[in-house]
Amino acid sequence: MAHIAVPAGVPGIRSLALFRPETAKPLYELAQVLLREPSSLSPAERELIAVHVSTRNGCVFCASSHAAAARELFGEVRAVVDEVIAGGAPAELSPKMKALLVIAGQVQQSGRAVTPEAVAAARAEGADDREIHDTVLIAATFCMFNRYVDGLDTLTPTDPQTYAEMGRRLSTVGYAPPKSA
Amino acid sequence: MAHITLPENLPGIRGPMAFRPETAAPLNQLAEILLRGESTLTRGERELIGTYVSSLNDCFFCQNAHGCLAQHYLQCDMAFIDQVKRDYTVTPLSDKLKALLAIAASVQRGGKFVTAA
Repeated sequence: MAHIAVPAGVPGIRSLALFRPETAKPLYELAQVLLREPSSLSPAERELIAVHVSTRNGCVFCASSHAAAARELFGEVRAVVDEVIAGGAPAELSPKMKALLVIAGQVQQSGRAVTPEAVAAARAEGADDREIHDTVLIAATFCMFNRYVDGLDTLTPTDPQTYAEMGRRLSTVGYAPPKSA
Repeated sequence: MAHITLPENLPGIRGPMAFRPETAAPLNQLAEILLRGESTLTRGERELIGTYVSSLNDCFFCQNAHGCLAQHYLQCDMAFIDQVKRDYTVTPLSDKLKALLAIAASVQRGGKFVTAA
């Protein structure tokens, strides 16, 4: 049972979006800009940042749904998603991406935990200001989403198939607030 | 020096917002709705929640920017804002707002720290 009266049977952030459409609009727009709109980081790489942060925050709904989206988007090399969840640094990921995941992990601890050394390491692997900015903002945004979803104790499905369907929707349609349950 | 090259002389969040207007738009819309849109909580109460969480996060810019806004809306002095940050339970804030600040403090630690009781 969620802490507030959200629509029954609707999981995670979708139940909160139906409860409060006014705030859902900018939240979903932020996700769409950060994870789907043009960027030198692929949507798969950006979803991986979301997965990494959500996993470390222990948010099962966010980690599972974005992991499903990332698996769809990575296609043949989808195994990297589960390697990152397990705490690894898969060889299939670029050195730049691995360095950006380190920065994202620091943001998950605290904004003030981001070190100049981690930023310099990402730069040395070719990351530019925009990629560093977006990595920090994706990580910070998911710290917010994770707290929002778990702070109101929303419905967290346990069936992997439910997440696989979400992953297919997120990888094809992207982020749009739900119109009804 | 910021970690990335931002427009000069813009403090706090204003630097990254000028750097990346595409993300600034929804972020500003969200803040506008949450802190200034229609609500049964006053603007002062909502700014105080922002101030308190920013203080717990040790974010100097946010706690001071929103602390000054809260001070303005609540028509109190900064000593009162500082007291809320130190220990809101001993202030004359309403019991409802104190209970909401307790929830906000739990959210600051992590979503799962928010309890039903």
